[in-house]
Amino acid sequence: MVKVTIDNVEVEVEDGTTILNAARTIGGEVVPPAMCFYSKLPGTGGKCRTCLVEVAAGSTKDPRPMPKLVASCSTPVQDGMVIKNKTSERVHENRGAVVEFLLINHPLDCPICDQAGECHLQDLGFEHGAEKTRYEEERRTFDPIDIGNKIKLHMNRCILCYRCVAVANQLTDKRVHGVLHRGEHAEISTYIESAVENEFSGNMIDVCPVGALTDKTFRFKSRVWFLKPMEAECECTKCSGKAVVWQFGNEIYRVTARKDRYGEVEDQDGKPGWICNDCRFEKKDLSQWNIIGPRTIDRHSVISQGHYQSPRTSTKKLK
Amino acid sequence: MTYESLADGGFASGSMLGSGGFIVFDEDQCIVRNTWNFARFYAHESCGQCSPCREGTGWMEKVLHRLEHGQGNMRDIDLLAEINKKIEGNTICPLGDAAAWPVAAAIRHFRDEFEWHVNEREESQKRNYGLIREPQSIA
Amino acid sequence: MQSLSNRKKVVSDKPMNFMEKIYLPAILGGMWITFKHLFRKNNTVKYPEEQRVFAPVYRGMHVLKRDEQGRENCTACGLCAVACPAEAITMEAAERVKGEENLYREEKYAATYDINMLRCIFCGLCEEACPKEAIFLTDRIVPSEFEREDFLFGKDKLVEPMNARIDVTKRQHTGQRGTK
Repeated sequence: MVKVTIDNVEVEVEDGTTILNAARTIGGEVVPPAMCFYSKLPGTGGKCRTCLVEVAAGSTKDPRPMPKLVASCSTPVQDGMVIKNKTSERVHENRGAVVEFLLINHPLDCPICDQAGECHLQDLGFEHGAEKTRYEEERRTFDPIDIGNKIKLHMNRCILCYRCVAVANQLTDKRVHGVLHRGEHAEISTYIESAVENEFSGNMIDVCPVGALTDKTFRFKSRVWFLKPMEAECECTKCSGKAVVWQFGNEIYRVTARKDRYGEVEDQDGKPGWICNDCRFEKKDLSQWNIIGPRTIDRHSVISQGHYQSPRTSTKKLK
Repeated sequence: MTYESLADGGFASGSMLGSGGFIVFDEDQCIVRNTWNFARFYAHESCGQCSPCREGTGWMEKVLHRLEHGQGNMRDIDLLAEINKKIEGNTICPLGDAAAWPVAAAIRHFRDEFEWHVNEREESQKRNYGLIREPQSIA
Repeated sequence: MQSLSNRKKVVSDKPMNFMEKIYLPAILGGMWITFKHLFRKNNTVKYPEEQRVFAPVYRGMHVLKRDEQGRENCTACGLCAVACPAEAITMEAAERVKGEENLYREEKYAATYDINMLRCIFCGLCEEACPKEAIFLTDRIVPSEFEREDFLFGKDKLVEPMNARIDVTKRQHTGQRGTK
């Protein structure tokens, strides 16, 4: 066990924990945002640079500060480390810069995008973004393409976090999509637009922090904040069958995995609760689901405007 | 000439000799054009993994392209200085730093040339420097 | 308790004296006030022959704007509906297909868009929420109808006609938002 201090909060964590995970054990405002890191997918992280933090003291043995900001998602803690996230002006400034970099080629088509309302880039831009862009050139544009008949890829919106590539590598048996080209021209694509047909490929949609990969069965049907997120269960042989159904009246508009407050799938029965494509795309009838109750939505989220309060969890202290 | 004599005063006042190699220009060379050339190289070489480098190098290349081709304004010079400050140190590998430093150094030491490109747009297009005018854009 | 504003009047029920009991002085006093008003300037206008000038920010009937090329601005983002305190707005989105580029500006558009004018309180929050400069309140008055159903204004009544464009340049939010 090692002791670290994050934003003046002392916490004791396992040896080898990353700074980000140590911050998550504290929770609240000290947690750096993460666009590419996904705790349920080993190997992700380090790419988006939004989770940069300042290390004011390296360790008890060597208390010198680290000269550069470090990516908290891939830097392990050391005993006596002093980390500044919210309290560091430098972090705030550079995070704003990273957000600006992420946004210069983003189409900002939130009014159209199905991810709006639960988009991490929106949250990030809301907190750190500038009011106006300084980018005068043409934005990078791609045509939206279909990946299989259930997933739509809007490469314009992609921030190249590589999470979906990790999903394809780790959850499905055969990967047929990846990143093509390099640098500014890099893009997520499939091998000649061939379909991604795997039992768990739909989880790409859940891990995508922006609206680059969206559910075609839900495409433009409604906005997430008009829907009622309900925890539901179903009999499924392929996955845990535990999901969130997004209802509009008595209709199920879409099904997603249960996500925690960092936008990552929750553990179900000790395993990450990925859901299979059958549950996600096919089971759109209430009779196929056993509704448990409303899902707790953070009150700062626009989705909470429907005032769905779960009596079961409302008393539970939010971490 | 030793490594120390060139690097004297550190990166702030002297020059940066990263790999120990250097290019000698005569005084007729256009710094803006050369800087654009460096930026173009780094934009081309960026692997596209981390966002500051992927977006930043391309952005710098575009701004420098604009300056070099007589479409820039004074705001762009400050913008460039700002961008490379934000790339530097925020990337995974040193390519981001390497892309930022020549631009930073060029603006610090030869800001007057950048300003001349903004103020004398037509003149800057007419005058022929040592570097050939082609190719016009990155392939 | 002592009145803070000093405007408090204490009501008394003391018996009226003779002059008060005959009421005539009070009636004459009232008549005099009425008579004086005959020579005052009129406060009313003879509507509909004569019409008052509306303020440029008057909040009347809504319009769904088209852009210069006649394409509908609305992308059915739902922000007006979520901003609406009266729950007056409902909509359904649809995807633009090839060949409709001259009808709708973005790849998503409102297939139906209804405002219940009986619910609407004309607060203007929809106009304020709109990121696409699509919905504006205008200086037009919602016409009166006999049936409740007729107050459910659909796209046929809300979208501005191409041959009778509605000027919203004086509205507070015109040109405030990037339309890209």
